[in-house]
Amino acid sequence: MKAQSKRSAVYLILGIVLLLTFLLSLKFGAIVISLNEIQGAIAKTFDGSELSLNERIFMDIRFPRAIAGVVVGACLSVSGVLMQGLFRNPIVEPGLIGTSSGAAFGASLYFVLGATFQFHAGTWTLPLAAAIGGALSTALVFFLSANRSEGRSSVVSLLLTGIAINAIFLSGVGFLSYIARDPQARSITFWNLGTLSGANWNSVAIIALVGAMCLILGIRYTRHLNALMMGEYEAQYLGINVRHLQIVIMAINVALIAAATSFTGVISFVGLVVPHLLRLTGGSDNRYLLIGSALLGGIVLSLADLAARLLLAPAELPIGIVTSLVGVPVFITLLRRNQYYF
Amino acid sequence: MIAVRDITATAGSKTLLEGINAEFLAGKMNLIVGPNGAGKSSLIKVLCKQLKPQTGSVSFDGVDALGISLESFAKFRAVLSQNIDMAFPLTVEEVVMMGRYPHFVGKPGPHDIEAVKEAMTLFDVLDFRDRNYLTLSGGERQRVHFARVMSQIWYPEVGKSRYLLLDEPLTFLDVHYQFAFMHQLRQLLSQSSLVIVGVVHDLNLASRFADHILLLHNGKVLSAGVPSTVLTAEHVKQAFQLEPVIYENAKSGGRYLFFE
Repeated sequence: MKAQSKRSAVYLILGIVLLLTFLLSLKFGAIVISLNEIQGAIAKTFDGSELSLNERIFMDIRFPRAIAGVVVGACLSVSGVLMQGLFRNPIVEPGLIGTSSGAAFGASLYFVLGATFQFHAGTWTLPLAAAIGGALSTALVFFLSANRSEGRSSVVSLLLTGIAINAIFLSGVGFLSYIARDPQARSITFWNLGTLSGANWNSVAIIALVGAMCLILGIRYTRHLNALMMGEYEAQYLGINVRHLQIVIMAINVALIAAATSFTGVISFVGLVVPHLLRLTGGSDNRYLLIGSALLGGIVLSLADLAARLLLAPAELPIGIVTSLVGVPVFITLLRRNQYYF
Repeated sequence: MIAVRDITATAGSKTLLEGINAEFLAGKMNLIVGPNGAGKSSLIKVLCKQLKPQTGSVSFDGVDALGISLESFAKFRAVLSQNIDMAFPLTVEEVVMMGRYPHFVGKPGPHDIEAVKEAMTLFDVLDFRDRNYLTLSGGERQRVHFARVMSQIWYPEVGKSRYLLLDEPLTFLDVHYQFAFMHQLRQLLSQSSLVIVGVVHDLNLASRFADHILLLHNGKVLSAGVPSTVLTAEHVKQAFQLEPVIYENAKSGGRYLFFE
């Protein structure tokens, strides 16, 4: 089939570009690391000998951060595809439908009140708090904006409900920042703008594990999401249990967003831009979008992180600001070009 | 054969269907007609498992339709609706392939690809298989969906019927497409083991193409049988509060209804 070979070609190209971006991301930053140092760092880590300063920077900071760029970008983009399929709408994005603000609220709650209430479950506490907040707000928007008779959320009701729910949760975040002491308030600010600078091997491993599981699970439901494009009724005529599908996709999405944002904060618009770019290249089949988005998402976020590191070097720009600068024009274009989707 | 027994369905305090009994046979064009609010869509929704009746039973060749899972149901029963709106641009072929979703896991097999190709040929959409569905006209879109639902029930199983339910699929089409689709459905009926049950608005279309008509009024069956016994002046007046002028073409045997 023609379409099939075109898609394989896109996967191959994206794979190669991803590799190149990853290598750039390993090399450049506040300090440029030479290829010799990269080789040396990896070799010495294996034989256990002493690392030089640059080699240590590479091994402890740069390498996990480069991987974090790839896996977080993949998670956010895959989540974008899944949610757009579920809402039957290409403008759905975690930042617009409340997921991010809910997660930010959950995280702020943990930063400010976690110590007071002895609410602690180790490394997993922050992701867990963010996940619960994100799940709550997303479910609220989903159920409040759904038009049952059409089985599809209209763009207007979706955006308005999103604004309302965002307002509630962001007020919550604002209130928590207001009552927070200084270090807690800084944590909240950092979290709301997003950055990959805190990446370490531990967090990267968790994000990669959750991301891979969600991607594999998501691919099993791509046909269901394709059928859902025709509406809930038509999907049911094709044998799909739509309620079950909604719950599974929501659960996958919350896991992805929680994993991606818990260690990096809120990074907006990646989940919007990446699936949109892919639709321009090869259609809307969800299987293609999901696999393609995992690759392209890695590329886009790695590039965004490079920009965040280099634009104000040696200082850093929060990555959420970079992605918003790129994402907002795409979002507006999508809204204005309304002949097909809405 | 579909057997409907004593179906009663309510929504809140409103009675949608009351004590409906009906049989729809294989190889026949079974059409449901009636005024707005008579219960046509409710009845087809019950058959599609969209509406759960309070009492009664529906069986497809002895299989209890109310108890069967959506997944197994989709293997031998397809539904064609009106005016399906697609959220994202897919190619025509991708849309038709959806009809095969109940039959494969992962990637489509040679059987599925074959069925899709033949269904696209039958409904004359093979030439634009790679076109974006959203750029098609209303008539072309409905041809694509016809191909999709037929690919869903493409292969007959020995000793089992296949079912095609039509939920007013012709409503937004011009008279050319309405006739073209009805002729195609008639041709499909000549294959064994296909049961067609459909809701139509146009009484003349029903009169022209139906083998069996079920006339509903206020959630009850007013009359059932061949067109000439169901679409009488008396029944039509009772159901629609309009006196029809009936014209019969002695040569072709056609029967037409006019309203003044």
